[in-house]
Amino acid sequence: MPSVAAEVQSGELRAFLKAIGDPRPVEAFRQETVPPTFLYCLFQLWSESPNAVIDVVGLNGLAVLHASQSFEYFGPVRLGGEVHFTAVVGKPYEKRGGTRVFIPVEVTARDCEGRTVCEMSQLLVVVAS
Amino acid sequence: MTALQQRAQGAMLDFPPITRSTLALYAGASGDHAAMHIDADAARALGMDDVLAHGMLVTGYLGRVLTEGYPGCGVRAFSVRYVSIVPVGAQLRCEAAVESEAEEDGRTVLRLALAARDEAGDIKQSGEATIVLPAKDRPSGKGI
Repeated sequence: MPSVAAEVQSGELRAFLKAIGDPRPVEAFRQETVPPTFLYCLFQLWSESPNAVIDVVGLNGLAVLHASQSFEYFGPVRLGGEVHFTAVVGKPYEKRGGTRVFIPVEVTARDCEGRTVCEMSQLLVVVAS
Repeated sequence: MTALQQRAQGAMLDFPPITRSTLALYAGASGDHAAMHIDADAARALGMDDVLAHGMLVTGYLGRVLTEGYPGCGVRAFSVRYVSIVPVGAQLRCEAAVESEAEEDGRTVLRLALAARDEAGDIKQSGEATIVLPAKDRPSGKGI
């Protein structure tokens, strides 16, 4: 998967705050770090196609759900900041006799100087219909 | 103030029922355009009864428990497991309970257990977080 370069812009951040009901004004994020789950959205928003991970794995047309998600943060990300994402899709594995296929995905976010600011791990599950 | 009173407390937020508008707004704002969250016809074609909430919307709600329950905190780690799907109409309560408290370089580090439950009390997401509370205001001591 190609890397994704993104910028934390006020319009996108404001829409995200509204969508989750975060009452803080967007300008607060010139000082504060962005909400904890926003970085994953930033990765999706700036990817070439929505649901970037699903496209890469080739799962369009199947029900793909989240099984788990984790974030580890190493530095702040603020309004106006640049973030570079790289994603690695792991080897899928089956459970429940093949009716569930799990796919691990690791996304690393780095700042403009290459320092890792966040590691995101997710486990997707494809449910056979 | 006794040591007991100084201990950090848990936090809780109640959310309004999740509507189709909630999901449409979140789809646009998050970049997750998967049809099963916004298009009932597409959801049925996938074998579901109706659209269901984005898991990451609920994770975003749990994130608000951290940022609003502990204003100014730094989040070090945050992880959740998706226990069951969240349908339209679900009314969620998101909670953080303090599992442990430690001092590190003069700052308080909390390990929190997180849960998102629906109106029936059923767990939808469970998880953990490690946060660092902002530096305490030092008492001025001698009061002028």
